[in-house]
Amino acid sequence: MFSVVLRKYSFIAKSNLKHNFLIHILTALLLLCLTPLLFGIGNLDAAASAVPLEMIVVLLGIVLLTPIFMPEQQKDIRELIETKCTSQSGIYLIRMITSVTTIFIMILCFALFMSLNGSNFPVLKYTIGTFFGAFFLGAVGVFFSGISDNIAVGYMVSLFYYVFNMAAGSKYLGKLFLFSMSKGSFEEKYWLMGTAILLVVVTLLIQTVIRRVR
Amino acid sequence: MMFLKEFKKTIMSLTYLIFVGILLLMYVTQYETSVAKIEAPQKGLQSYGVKYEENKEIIIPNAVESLYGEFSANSYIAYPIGFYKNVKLGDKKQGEMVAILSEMTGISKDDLMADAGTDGAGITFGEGDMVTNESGEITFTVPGEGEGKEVLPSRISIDQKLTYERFRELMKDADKLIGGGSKYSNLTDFGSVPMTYEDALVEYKAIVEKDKITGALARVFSDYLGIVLSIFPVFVAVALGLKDRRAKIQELLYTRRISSFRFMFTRYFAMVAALFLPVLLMALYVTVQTANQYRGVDIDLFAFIKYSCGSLLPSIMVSAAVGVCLTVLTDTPIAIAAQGIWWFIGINMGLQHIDGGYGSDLVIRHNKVGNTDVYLDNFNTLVINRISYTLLAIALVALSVWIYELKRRGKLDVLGSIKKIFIHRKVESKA
Repeated sequence: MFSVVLRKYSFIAKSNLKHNFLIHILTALLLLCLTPLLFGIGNLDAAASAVPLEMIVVLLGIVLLTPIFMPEQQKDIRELIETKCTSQSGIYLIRMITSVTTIFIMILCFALFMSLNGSNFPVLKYTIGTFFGAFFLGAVGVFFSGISDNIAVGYMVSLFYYVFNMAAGSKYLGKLFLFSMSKGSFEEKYWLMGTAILLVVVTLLIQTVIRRVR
Repeated sequence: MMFLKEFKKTIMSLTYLIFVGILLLMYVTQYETSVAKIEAPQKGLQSYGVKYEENKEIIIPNAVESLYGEFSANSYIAYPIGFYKNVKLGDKKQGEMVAILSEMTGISKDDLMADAGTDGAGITFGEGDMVTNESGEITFTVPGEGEGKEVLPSRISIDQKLTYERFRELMKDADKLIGGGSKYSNLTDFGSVPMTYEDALVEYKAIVEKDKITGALARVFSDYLGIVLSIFPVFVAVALGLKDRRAKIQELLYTRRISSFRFMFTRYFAMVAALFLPVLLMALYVTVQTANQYRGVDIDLFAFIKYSCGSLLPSIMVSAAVGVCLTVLTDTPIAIAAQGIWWFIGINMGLQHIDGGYGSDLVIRHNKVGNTDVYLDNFNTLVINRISYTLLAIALVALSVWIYELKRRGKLDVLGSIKKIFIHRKVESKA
């Protein structure tokens, strides 16, 4: 029984990677390749190392996590999928796990690359901090695209959250400030992660309710 | 008729409502909280801010000292496109840098190399010493009297034969070696001097007489709104563009009698009009608010409208045009990524002109109430910039017309081609 379920979901994961996820991975790789052109990533101290991670690498969350509802944007595809006995929430979870794992691996690789280039910072701590920020931005996108059934809305709100952080700083955002590591604080990252988990759970619940009502 | 339909379709979309919300949030949290009532400076204040002067007596020692310090540590700070970069030069380029320093100081390359790496670099200036401490303050020590001479283990002097013109050339070379965007790309930054009461009064008079108050405020208004207007219209354009595909009416639209030119341009201008409407309303609101605040003062009642049309409208146009063009071409939201990257680079390049000055920036920055003369001195650059972006927007929509026409004739299907490459390349029928 377990092996059947495992086989089914591993097939779904592979299929998702091939049909839906590839283009987003390519965009994410492009973003990572652009970062060293925009920022110096070598010979940085701890505070300066946080800047490229929090300013650009964190955007991986928007690129990789926000579009998890994208394949069902077309009504006919969605209606067809909803007739199947496989749990839709299970499919979303598979997509989310794929996205989150990819985000973490990409951030870790980038942080290691910075470290190899002579930047001096705690690699694991900064990787986790950046990952929490990325997960939060992605979760904002997931929430808004999930409740609006419009992927552009998800991208729009999560990007505005990022822009607002740049423009307003921590003044209005308090514990949910994205760029805290650059200012020497890590506490905000736990708040971001907690809120992100909450947003994802609420979105999946709302999606389930919407499907049942439909 | 079609214009009104498209206009209505835009303002009824969810992305448009969020766009309006974003504008309001930026206005309330940024503009309203950063602008205080403009009043004449009071005499006897401790500080009136700083200004930058092209005074070679100040610039040369400051810049040479800074370069020497960075050379010693082989750690050069640069902002090539607005972002922090810590540049480390290879042996060859360090060799070229030491030649530059040697010419400016008159000290041999070997001595400079030997001295490199010693902390607390100081500088001999005329009869005494001029030392810049960590907070940027400049202090002088007199030879034989000050403790500074003993404290500072390393010192360099300025070659008396060095002319200002040659100094500028050498600093330009130094900037090139670092890769551009270094401190030495704008030498005036080394000429900061405290503003006096008289300076502050001149600046105030410029705001009152040349800007009629509202001009100075409108530049800050445009600065804050320009940040979001250079990126968020693309979301509205993409969402509206993809709506046809989601509703599966693309093919139906292709068969209509309307020309591609009329269809695309009407749709585009209706969208731009809808996107500009909240900006205009906010400009009107802030005009009324400012007029109430400055009762009895001669203000320019049209300043906010003029700046909105001249500075903000081109930003909306180009961002929306990128959305239209790439969505027509690919039928995907890729325009968001493209405009996002352009905006990200543009906004950071604009930081170099954050208090005015301008250039080829996508986002026009002027984050200071005042700097009227900087604005007037660079007015032509600003006009060329905005006209160029407007023309670029029109060109992108014209390109969209051509792409749309090809799709109508069935000669172009970019999304289908992408799918073939990435998705179905190995799929075989099991039947």
